[in-house]
Amino acid sequence: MKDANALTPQIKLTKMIDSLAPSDVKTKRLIIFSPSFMQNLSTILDHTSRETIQTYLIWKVIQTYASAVEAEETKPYMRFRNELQGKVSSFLRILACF
Amino acid sequence: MDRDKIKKDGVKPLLEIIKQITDMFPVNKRHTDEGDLGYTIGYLAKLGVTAFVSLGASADDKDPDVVVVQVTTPDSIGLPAKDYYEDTNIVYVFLEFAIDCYILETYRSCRKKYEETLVQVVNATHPSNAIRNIAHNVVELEKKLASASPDAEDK
Repeated sequence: MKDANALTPQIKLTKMIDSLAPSDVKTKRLIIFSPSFMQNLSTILDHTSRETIQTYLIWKVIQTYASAVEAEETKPYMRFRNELQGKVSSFLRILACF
Repeated sequence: MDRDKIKKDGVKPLLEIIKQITDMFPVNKRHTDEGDLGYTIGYLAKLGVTAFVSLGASADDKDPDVVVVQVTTPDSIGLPAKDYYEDTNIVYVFLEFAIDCYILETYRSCRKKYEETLVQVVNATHPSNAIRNIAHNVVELEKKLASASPDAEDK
């Protein structure tokens, strides 16, 4: 576990597990699919301000929940997403002609 | 699902989660090594939100008292694919493939619109005087995350 924490000290993987797994579970095992990514992540976080990280987290929540709420505030994101879907499918259509 | 209730609640459910995040991970704290980021990521994972890493928890097949947590790179950083974060030389690509030129131009203007959208929606839910600057930093952060992520074929 200590080694896991050392990969990305800014995240403290043990705290992540505490938050995720039920509290009554005593033993937790951790599988990290890409330790090199976790190290890269550590370097990236080292150069990122807390304000940017906080806004990134807020942005992820917005992206996940925008389609589940009906609000003026989130409409620009829904519009952007629909437009993007349109562009991706146009690209696939053009690609299909070759 | 009650459509009228969803309409009536408007942006409130979203604002509640955002408040949780700002409480769990306040900006005015000196050190990032206290584990509050890890805790917040775990909390968001429970809500179905992927931030920095993709998390999954399941019971160990050999011992039900053991929980196995898997940490993987996210499938999507924000924009649909890694490619959307690339900074490539358009002129070079135009000489090679006209069709690629269309796509790359789309990636760049797409990122610009993405950043604009970020400014609008985050400012509406969590206003800040520095929103334009922060939004740019968030997209730059996503660019770095995309760069650090394995390609789809290598996953």
